[in-house]
Amino acid sequence: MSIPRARLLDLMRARCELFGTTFNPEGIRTGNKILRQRLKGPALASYYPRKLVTLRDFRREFEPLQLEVDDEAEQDRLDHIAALVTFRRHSLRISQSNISQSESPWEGSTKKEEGSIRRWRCVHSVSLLYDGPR
Amino acid sequence: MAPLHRTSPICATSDRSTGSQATLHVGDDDDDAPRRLPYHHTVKMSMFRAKKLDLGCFTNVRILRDHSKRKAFEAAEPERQALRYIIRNTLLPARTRAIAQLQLTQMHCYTRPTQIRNRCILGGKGRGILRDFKMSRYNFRMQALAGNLPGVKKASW
Repeated sequence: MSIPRARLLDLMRARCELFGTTFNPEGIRTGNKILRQRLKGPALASYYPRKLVTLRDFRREFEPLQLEVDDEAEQDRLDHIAALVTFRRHSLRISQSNISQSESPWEGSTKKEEGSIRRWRCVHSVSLLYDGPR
Repeated sequence: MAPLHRTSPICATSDRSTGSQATLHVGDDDDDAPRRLPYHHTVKMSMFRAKKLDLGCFTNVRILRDHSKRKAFEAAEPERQALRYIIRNTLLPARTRAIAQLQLTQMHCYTRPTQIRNRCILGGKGRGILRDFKMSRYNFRMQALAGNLPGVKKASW
């Protein structure tokens, strides 16, 4: 004694209604399994730890309490710039003394003087690079 | 499967519904319109990079790139899944599915999940990464021996 197919289909339809699944007796590929998949983007995007708080935020938090926060890296950077600036002043003084020796630095200057002028320009551009805000 | 498509009422409705979607989303090519370059030819990689550094771990350009890819994938994931659904759905007209296939392949390569690779958060290495600790095997060993990883202990038997 076999159960008629129509009756089995009715059972399947009722089951689908009950459990909220798609009634698909022919097993057609509808791509529903793509829609059932969970999105994995948020999990993948949170792989690397994000930057939470910076030293600047820290300092801002402690400012109302009249407390100072030392930033060693920033201090190192400022020291480096200060060293560069003194170096520039020093080389500027040398080049100026060279220029004052000859009447016109641009025309008829010796090779040595040209070199000193060029070096001053070079140092100047380096210091300009480092003087700017980070 | 073609006769089944035409006769089945479900298929007919889906044909109708996706017909409107095809003009709205997928879009038909008309010959008068100027030819656009594919998407990945017009978009620079740098547009996916954060304007300000938002990472707190070890940073090098490979990590930045991988992070950008992760964020790009996260943003494009719903669109990718929608296109994949259209491609997989055999009830839709073949033209719609083919257009969806083309669109999916023409999306920027940074939006592909296969571009993403786990990297070491301490040294940026791309090989030999322990997924649970997000570290390369050497960094994992160093951290474990230093006792920085709770529950990890050197075993010997």
